[in-house]
Amino acid sequence: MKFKFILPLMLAFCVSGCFEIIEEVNYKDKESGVYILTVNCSKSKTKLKTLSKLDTFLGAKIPKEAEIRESFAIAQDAIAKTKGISNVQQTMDFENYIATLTFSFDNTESLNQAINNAAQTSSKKNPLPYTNVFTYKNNVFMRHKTPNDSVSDLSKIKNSQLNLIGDATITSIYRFANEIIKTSNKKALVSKNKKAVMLKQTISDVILEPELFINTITF
Amino acid sequence: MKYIYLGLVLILLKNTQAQSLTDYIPTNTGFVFSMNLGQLNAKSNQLDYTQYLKPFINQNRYNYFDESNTSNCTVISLKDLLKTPTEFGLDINNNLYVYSVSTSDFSGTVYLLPLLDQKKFEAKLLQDCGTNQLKNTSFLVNGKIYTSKETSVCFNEKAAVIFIKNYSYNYYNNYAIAAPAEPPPMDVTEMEAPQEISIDTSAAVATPIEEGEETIDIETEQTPSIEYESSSNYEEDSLAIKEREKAELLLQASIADFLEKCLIAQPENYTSNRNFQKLNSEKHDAFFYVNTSAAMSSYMNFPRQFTIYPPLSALDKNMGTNTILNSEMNASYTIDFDNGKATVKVLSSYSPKSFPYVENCYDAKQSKKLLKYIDGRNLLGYFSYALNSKEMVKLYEVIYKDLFQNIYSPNKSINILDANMLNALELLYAFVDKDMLYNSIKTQMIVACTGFEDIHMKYTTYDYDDNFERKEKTTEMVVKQPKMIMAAALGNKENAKKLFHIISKFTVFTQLKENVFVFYANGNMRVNIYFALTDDAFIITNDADLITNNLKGYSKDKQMNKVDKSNILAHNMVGKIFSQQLLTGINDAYFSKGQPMPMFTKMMAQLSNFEMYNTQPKDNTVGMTAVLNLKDNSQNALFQLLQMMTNVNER
Repeated sequence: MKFKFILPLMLAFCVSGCFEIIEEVNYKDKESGVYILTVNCSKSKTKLKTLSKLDTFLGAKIPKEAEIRESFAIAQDAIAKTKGISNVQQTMDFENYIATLTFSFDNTESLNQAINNAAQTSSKKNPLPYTNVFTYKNNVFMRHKTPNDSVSDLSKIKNSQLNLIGDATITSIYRFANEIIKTSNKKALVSKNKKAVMLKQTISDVILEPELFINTITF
Repeated sequence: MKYIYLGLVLILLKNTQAQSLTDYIPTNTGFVFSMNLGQLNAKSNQLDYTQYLKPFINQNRYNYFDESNTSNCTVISLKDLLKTPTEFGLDINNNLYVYSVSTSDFSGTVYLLPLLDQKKFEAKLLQDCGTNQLKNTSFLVNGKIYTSKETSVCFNEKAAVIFIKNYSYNYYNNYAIAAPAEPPPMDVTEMEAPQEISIDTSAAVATPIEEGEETIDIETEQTPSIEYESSSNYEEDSLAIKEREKAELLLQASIADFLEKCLIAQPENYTSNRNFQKLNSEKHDAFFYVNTSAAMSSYMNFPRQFTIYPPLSALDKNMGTNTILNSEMNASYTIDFDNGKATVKVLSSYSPKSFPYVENCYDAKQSKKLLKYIDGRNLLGYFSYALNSKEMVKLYEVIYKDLFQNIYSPNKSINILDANMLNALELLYAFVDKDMLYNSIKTQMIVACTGFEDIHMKYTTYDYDDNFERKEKTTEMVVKQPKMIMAAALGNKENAKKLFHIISKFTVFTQLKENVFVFYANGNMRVNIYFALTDDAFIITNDADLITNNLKGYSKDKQMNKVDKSNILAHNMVGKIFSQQLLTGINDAYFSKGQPMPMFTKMMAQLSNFEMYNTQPKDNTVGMTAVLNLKDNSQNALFQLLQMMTNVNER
């Protein structure tokens, strides 16, 4: 997942302290599947409700509900126009501050293209280079490192500010049709049925060290 | 003829010999802001405080509104001037003054500056204004004038005046200027000396009038208001442009004329205002003076199309000066930075006619009985307010009666409804139970933040089974909320009980006890707001402990300390914020893992308590003092605060 895709939200989250991002890739077979992105700020909802009444906080612009909806709608539109992508859906619960984005992909290339297209919608001024976020070839699934420039804005956040989001986590869950033989990332957990991998990390760690995302799963 | 000129020059020179810059400020100016750059520069110890003066710099708004117009010359940069005043030849040991003016042709802000080096000042004027710039020599004040669309400057060896014209949204007002306002607050026509100065716009040099010579009388002749319709005809368009340019030149000439008169002692000026002079002589770092009568008068005469309020056709134009409170009323706000503390003082002066009402309102003390409801163990701040309810009722009656009488003047030709409005209101008021309205709950109250308490909050999260299938679940967590209390003294207890009983029956409230009801704010977040009536107080709080266990008051060892108690009892209005405890509490309550937030850490390292209290009514004045204390008493507060703001911004 490229971070710039959710940058407007991240700004709000940075001042909200506690939130979780869940990235799920569910393969039905070796080609197609469903991608689900969930951003859950329920734990910080009282702070967010207060912050949503402000224009800025600690120098960061607080996006309005309409702006967040618009950003998501633009990203959704970009994903929907991608070849090999279907069933694009999004939900936004501003009572509990939970947002989800779901779409089906025909193959991993389409999934990469969709993520890149979505990323471009929030980075028009400094377009990101096209990046393969995932590859799935010859019984090997790879989650690549998020390019440095895509987290460059976030990496500008000073260590002291990272304390603010010390509790925020990002969880990656990849589900496959085949059984997993091994994973390269030592922090990754393999499910009991050996068909899923989960990797949970703090956002501050990932911002400081994007390599933590890298995982090679062999079937 | 020579002797006439000589006489004229001598009379004009007499007028220019003002002893103080305050001689130049007319008394009918509503607001005057003043600061001493020398004192502020010394106290800031080279740190830039001018970045916080933006509200007083109204420059460059033309380019903001009209980006396409790049020809708007500023003549002088106020921002640079304030940042490096000595480079501009300013006398920083004397105060500068800022005030607003409104004439029949234009309105804007005047910056009156003491000058030490005229040549230095002139050298700093921007020279790239092109044809928009109008340069005059002023014989009247023995100085020079530079004008442009937005900013204009006039100066002599003693002082400089910078005028920034207000932007008018109306397109043609760029040329033909705002609607007239009458009478002009700065009545330049009433000056003692002859004002016959003509300005030749082509030569742009002011010259004395020759007999029979054709001149433009910009005092008596209104700047022509020009209206154009769009035309496809090139010649018509060119003509329109020329007319606008001509109107603009006329306006600049009018401003030039106004500017040089800003450097002449005014017939009625602020030097003769004793309150202002006292303020001026006290050598404050900065102060703001409000002449309420003049401000109200100016407001009443302000062109109504620029306000959101309805037309004032039904109002008496003298309302601003006739009302009992506004008459002769003025207020001053001063700020001073000393070692270890910054002090803001507010002083309101009233007329002898209205002061007794105000003085009587202060004839009250805080109720001792309220003190027992304040938990002093983790006190973060409090504000106590005690005024005489009955006297306040009298004051309100006088104010509103006076106000309505001025609004619906029987002498004006208004409709029958308006003419009888006051009578109808008086009749209605006669039926009102004043004791119920004003004396059930008295104007003696204490508001306090007594610490933080744990609040249980529900939120959504996820569980994963052995195969990492996600399941949504609702979990509860504890968050910190500030504990607040408002306790007000009771007047007529029976009336208070009656009101309390009526309010408790509203369906949004839940009755807990005979004397307690609660408002449940939110299903997820259990913030309960309690309303309680005791024998001596009406209480609103979110502190469940107070309601359930201490409704008869906290024991003495849990109440606030003696110093704060006597502080509350000694003043009508007094407040205190325990900055250290407050910042520590916020940090602990809201930032995760107990890691201190850098901003708070830096503030906590420097800030001490904030206090405010009133001064007793005396000599027709009532005042309020606020003091921000800093931990380090060896350095000036301005330097410390600027240093703190720099650190916070660098976070």
